[in-house]
Amino acid sequence: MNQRHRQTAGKAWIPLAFLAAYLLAFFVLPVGKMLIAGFANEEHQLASGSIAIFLDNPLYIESLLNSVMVALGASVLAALAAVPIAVTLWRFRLQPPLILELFGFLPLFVPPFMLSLSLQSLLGRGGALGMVLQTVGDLDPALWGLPGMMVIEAIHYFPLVLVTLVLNTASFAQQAHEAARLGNSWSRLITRVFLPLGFPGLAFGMAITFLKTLDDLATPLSLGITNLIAPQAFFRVSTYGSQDPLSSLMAVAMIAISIVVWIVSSGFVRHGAIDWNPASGGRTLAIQPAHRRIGMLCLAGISAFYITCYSGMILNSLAGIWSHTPLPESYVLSHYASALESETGSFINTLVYCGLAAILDVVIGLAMARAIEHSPPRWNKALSWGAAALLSVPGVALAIAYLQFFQGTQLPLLGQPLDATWFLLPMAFSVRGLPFAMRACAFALQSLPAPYVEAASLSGASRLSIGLRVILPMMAFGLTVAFLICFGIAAVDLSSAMLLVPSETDAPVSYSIYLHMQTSTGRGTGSALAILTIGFVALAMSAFVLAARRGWNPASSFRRIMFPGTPTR
Amino acid sequence: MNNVRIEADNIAFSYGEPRVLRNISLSIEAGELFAVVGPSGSGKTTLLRVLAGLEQPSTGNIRINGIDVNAIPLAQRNVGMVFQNFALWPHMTVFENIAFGVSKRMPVDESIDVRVERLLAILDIAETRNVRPVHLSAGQQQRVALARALVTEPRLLLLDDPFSNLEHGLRVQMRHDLRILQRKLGITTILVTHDLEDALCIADRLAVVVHGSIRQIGNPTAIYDFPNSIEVARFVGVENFIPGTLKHIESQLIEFFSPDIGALRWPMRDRPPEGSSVLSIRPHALHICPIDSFRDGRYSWIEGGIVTSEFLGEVVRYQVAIGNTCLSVKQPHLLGSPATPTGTPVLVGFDPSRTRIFPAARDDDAASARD
Repeated sequence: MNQRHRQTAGKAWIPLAFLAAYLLAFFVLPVGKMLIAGFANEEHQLASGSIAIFLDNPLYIESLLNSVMVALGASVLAALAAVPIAVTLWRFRLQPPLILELFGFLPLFVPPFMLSLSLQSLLGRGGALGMVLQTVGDLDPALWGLPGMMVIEAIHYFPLVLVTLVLNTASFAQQAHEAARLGNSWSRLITRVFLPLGFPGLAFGMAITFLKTLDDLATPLSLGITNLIAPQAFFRVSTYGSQDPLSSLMAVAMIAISIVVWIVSSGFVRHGAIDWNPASGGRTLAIQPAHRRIGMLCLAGISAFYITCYSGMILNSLAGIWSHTPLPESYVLSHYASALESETGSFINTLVYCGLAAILDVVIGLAMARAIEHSPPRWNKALSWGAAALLSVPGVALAIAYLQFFQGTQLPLLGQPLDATWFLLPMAFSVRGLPFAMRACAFALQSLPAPYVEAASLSGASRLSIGLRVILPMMAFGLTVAFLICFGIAAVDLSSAMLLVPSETDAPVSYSIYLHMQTSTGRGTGSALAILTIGFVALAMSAFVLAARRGWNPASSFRRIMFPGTPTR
Repeated sequence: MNNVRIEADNIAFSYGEPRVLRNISLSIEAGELFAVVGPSGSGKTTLLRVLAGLEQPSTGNIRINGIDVNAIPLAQRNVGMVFQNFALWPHMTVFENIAFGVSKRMPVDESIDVRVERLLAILDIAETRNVRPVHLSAGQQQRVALARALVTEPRLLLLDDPFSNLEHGLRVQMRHDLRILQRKLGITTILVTHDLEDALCIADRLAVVVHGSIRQIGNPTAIYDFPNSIEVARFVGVENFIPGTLKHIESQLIEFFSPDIGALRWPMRDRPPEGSSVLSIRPHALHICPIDSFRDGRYSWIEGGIVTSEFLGEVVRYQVAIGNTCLSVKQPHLLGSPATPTGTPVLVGFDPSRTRIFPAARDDDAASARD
């Protein structure tokens, strides 16, 4: 190997070393220490004391089982609702427009407690529909208990399950239709083609629903449900401090359950035949108007249902006086003004935390994607899945791990304890967003094939010029998408935020919304904040669609980014 | 433009095991259009990348005008390259693509605008000046890529299969235009292609690369007519290889015996060594006649039967079974005449002087070629 090669190889180790240091400091060591803490006594020896306490307390066992049941129930409910609709769309070959497809991913960028609060405003005793339908019974979701939470989580994640199912099967709708015209029955096509093809998507959507529901802290608290494992862990940390071994044990239990679910689902996702690109070639059969109408009716019905679900929050954000009447007595915009005025701090906090997390994610994701791309083929798949497995670390568990690991650590220069600052928030957000960041960065790298850089190098331009004029512009779109995805995912990560936020003044928007909604006087402002947040996400997605229409054609890339662990090419 | 002579001595390269290039030595004259051809995966693109400086050879030296360039940084080598997929930067206009880098390299004796405009005019793409590559046709993209490679007045122009993305008509036009331009500029050019027709049409000389080593260098007609090995013969379109035994009969007479075609004798001045050999014949060097035809004494005749026929337009390709051997025969298609039916017994005739005889490949040779 000549000197130039040795120099290049030497330089390649620098980002890898940073990557290893980051993963070690903000993932491996904190989680490792928490694992040990869950199974060790005060002398740091392996002991079964905390396990015995955990097993002896029926509340903890019940909470653990409830969490699994609610998460499982939500996934199954979402799947049960999604399958018939996906079959209908497939049967009538109706591919949802890109914007609706993107809105299917909205559950990842909007916290589910917003839906819970909206439904409470809508169906609660003093709510719009609740008043009208009170003769039928008490519809307040807060009174439904665990089934209520199950239904809310299912409604929240249903679009994600539906869109993953639709994306997995859409490529073959045309062939299925032709097979049906040749005499194959639709029931046979659905059981032999649709379900096997859709299963990877369904498994992925259900896994995400399960993991997010298990990790959800704000929704059960907003519903007054505490007999779940995440709220119990939260209460233990709030009451006994971060070094409480039982909270570690609960976090470990959450991680263990998540890993099992992730492994099971990844088995299905990995072995599924995923064709990301719509079938090309051949004559496209015209869709019958009646079929189109049925399909559009389905999509319109779903859209109307979600607008109704969130109408409680919309009404709240616009209500002047609203007390024991189906609709507000007066409408004002003052809540929006108040939200923008009084919550400037939380907006800035969100920008800082999520912005930092997203920048970190893009940098780390790029390094990881590049390392995986250049790894030997036998390592490539394992590394991709290893990185994707970060999805199975719940936010609550990561936050507890951070609080334990960094307790007593002083921030250099400032001389403050690390856990008393907001510094841990972006770090936790970045670890949680990493699986998606890595995917997005892998696509950004693919948008810059080697010959484009080589052509620039041969032209004699300087490295700086090549970086600024070729590499950066060509990867800009992919990196922007990566940044936005990570920013969005960080912005809704309330489970980590609720444990790691040092004070209310340091709260990000999602936490501020949650705090506002806890008080009857703050509901208007909280709702306005929530609507502004959802509006921002919708705006970002629309911008993405506009960019797609301008010829960037990132749609298929976006689909791939949202399915961590699946092949990137 | 600068005319330079390129020499490569014992170049070897590998991405690991096995080696991609092995003991490559060649010399390309100033102003020459030199083609490197070979089947897919033979290492020809890697050779081009090594010559460009995009890859560092494991061993060996590359000299440009006698100066070793191994240690010279890529940006200072002054090499222009057209990539197979053109690699035009999609966010830049045609003008920006071409002008990129021009200001950084040389003392510019004319403004960048003038230089780029001149190239745009020469390559007949002036109207695309402000267009982005995505809106260009494949032919226009190729011209832009060529202009970008030429704008810095490189000492050496490298073309990596530049015609592979073009449909046939445009391909013919583009290689014709490229040849004219290359002659006009007098720039030393290396063309890598998997398409023999491209290389034969425009190259002054060509090298056939197989399994990472150069098997033959010569001008197009020499390579086509006198391939020096079975691999080269196979690459230049020889389809029939009949194994047999060669014997020297008299001073300039040889006998080739194969169980299927029997013993054939003909005079040959440069006799190949005796022993196991392979007789190679091009499909269009064979003639088919009805079995009871007059046997022209200029040809050697073998009896066989037609197994299949394919109508290819200008020619009809027959597969003729002769014992256990199947020969591919191409006959010109005559207006209105149908193809000879399958199963018809025929005479296959050939002029032995138009055949080539190669020593049969030994197993250890084949193994070393695979390494």
